[in-house]
Amino acid sequence: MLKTPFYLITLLTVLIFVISCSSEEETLLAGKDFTDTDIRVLSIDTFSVQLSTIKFDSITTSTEERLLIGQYEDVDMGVINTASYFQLSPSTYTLNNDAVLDSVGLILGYDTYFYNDTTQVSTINIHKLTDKLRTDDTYFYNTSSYGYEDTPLATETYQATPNKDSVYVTLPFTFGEELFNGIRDNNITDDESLYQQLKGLTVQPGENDNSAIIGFSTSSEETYLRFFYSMPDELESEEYTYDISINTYFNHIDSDVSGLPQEVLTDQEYNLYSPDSYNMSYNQAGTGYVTKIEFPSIKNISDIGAGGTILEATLYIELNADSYSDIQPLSEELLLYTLDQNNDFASQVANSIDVVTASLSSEESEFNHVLYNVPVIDFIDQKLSESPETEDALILIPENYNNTVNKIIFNDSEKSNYNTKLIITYALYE
Amino acid sequence: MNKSKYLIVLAMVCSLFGYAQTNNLTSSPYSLFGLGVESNSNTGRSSGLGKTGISLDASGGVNLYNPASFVTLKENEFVLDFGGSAELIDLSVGNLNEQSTTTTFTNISLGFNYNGKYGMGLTLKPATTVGYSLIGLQSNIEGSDEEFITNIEGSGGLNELRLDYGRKMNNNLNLGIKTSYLFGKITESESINTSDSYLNISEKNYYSGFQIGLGLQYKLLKKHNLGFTLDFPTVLKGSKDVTIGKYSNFAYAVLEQTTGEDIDDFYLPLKLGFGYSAYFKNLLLTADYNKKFWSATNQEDALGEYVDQNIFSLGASYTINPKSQKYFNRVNYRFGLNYNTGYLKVEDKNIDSYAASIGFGLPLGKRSLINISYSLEKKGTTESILIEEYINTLNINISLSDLWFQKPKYD
Repeated sequence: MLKTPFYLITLLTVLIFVISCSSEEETLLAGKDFTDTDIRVLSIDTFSVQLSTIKFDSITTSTEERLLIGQYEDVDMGVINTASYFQLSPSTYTLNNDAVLDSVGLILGYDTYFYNDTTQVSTINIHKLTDKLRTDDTYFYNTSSYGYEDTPLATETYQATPNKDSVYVTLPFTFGEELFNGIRDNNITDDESLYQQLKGLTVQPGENDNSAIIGFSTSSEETYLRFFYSMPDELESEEYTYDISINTYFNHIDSDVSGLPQEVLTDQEYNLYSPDSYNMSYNQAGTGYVTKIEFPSIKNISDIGAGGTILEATLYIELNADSYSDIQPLSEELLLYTLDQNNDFASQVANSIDVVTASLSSEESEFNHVLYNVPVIDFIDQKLSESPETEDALILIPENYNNTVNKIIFNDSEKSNYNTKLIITYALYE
Repeated sequence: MNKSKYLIVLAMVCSLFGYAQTNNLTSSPYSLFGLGVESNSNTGRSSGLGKTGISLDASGGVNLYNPASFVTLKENEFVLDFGGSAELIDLSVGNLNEQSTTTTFTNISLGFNYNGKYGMGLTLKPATTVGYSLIGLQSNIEGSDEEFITNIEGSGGLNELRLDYGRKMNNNLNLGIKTSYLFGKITESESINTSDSYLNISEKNYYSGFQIGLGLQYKLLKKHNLGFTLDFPTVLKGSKDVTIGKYSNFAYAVLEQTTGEDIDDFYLPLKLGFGYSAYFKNLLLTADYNKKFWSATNQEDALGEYVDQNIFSLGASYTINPKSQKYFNRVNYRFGLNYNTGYLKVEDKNIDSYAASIGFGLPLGKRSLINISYSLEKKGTTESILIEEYINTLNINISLSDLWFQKPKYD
């Protein structure tokens, strides 16, 4: 009795099912009054931003594959002086018995980095080390210091061309002959016997230089001690070379800040607050200066009301207009780290997606002031939820903090006419 | 053989129901309130009769308006009744308007009659439905010139699993009782969006509870049919799961996550229903009045208050000749009117609705029936913040009957 209807019903059921799958549209008309939503969103720029400068006691300079050599005087940062120390060894200790040294020189290959004025003439003084490069841990630091002979082996003046090949410094023939003949005559057969002859070299800038800090490569392809020799017994007089390259190195970086506010920073735990340094705070790679950023009143945010959360928090920091130029460039990006109450590194600021970075603002503010935009929500959320409470503060570090000498000078809120400020977007949802 | 076909159809319908449950079943902004809007689901012929049915028998398919009617299913008959509806809603606020369509599954009922002594039915149907999305509401970020956008979406609703029992007391009096288990999930998601971040609050509200109802049908002087129903008030217990999360600085983080948190119970009111119908040859006239005592529940909604709800309905149906050989003479033509005061009062305005319906009962074979109805309903008003809705509903409902309990020795 159901024969005919059965197929009809099956068809209808399928039809209803197909219709059911069709999507529905959204209602746009009903207004906010129609809902019981009471979420409020507030923009707050009244939380204070406190800047202070601290100086790391030391930073490692022995792993970043760059020799930093030079000296220049900076109005705000004092006299910056960088010198390289390195120990050398060849890949093999064999030389033909008939080989005769013709000349020796140090080739320093540019790695393109420079800071400040390369049009000025610079001086390179090469000294023999009197101390062997030894360290208790695996690193050498910007503050590490080793003895070297007072009288340089060689001195060279040059005008740096960081985008070109290299600098060549001729070394005394007697210095070369001692090493060359030692290796040829099998008196120097391994690293130890070489170090007895040559503990290492240091390349120091001229005492009165005021030019640029130049980066040189540490690779055996770019930088090496080269012996030019020939074989007199051969019919054709051909020139041969024998190279000794760098195996251990570090950069000594310091700055003379006499008469400047930073003079007081003799201990890493000391904070130089911006009002005590012309309402500015300082950052300098290599020497270890960094600005410590604190939001002293941020915990009052819970007074706004229960059931709230920060949606956005951006710190804008104005840069001192005199602190950057084409020859003193700024880092496009800075990484966020925290410091503990002793001003030691605590951790890097990151969220579930990535590490957090500050970036140079593409737009310039009034009067051509350049700003860094620092997303600080992850830092502040961490501060608001931490238990127990800590004194952790924020610092901004460029990626190549250990092998450059770039400075960044911040204007504090007062000096920047409140371009330096913290803006928080806060949602109250309960 | 026929039974296995029933099972196939049943399986298809069940899978359809399962699918429908995951979908929003309406797109009315009024479903923001309470537990959503009352579902438009109907069985049998009532949707074409202005939603009258308290005094009607089950001759036009399963009648859920009165449990006493289950005994009036044809003797030893087994009925499978299921259907779906499509809604086209035209919304206006002020002089703006827009349209939305939804399609939904309305019910599945199984009913049978045993020797004319009693009838039973098992029904699964949506009871209330929620489906709204308020998109792009703009608000000022205090202390700035910028704005944030709020989007609110709701979906879900309550389902009713219901067992009806009707018993014949004497030739004129049938009594019935129903037990409903109401259960369901209503999801609301609210998100606020600033230029680079958002906050999202997602709530899942679960409700469940039982409701019991009584029904009576009385035949007076063989012509006048009277009906009376009483649904006892009940409490739906609720709990909610809340997840609050935010997206800031390119990362999403969960701020709060709670499950099984207690929420206010929802009170369903006492409901009384009266029905009258009478045949004048092939013309059936029917009238219902229902009252729900919402104000006694002392409930409040964020925007409106609950007020007593009155529903008046009238219906008429006509068949040229039920016993005719001609198919079209056997078709049942229906017409109905309905006025519902609604239970919500916003700014002193009742959200009431008027509806008119037409319908057809198309015989399928000897015992089965397809019920088709169309209704146009006007709900709400464009006054103040309110919304006016014109709801076009097309309802298709299939009632399949077969004899199952017939045994030769009783013939």
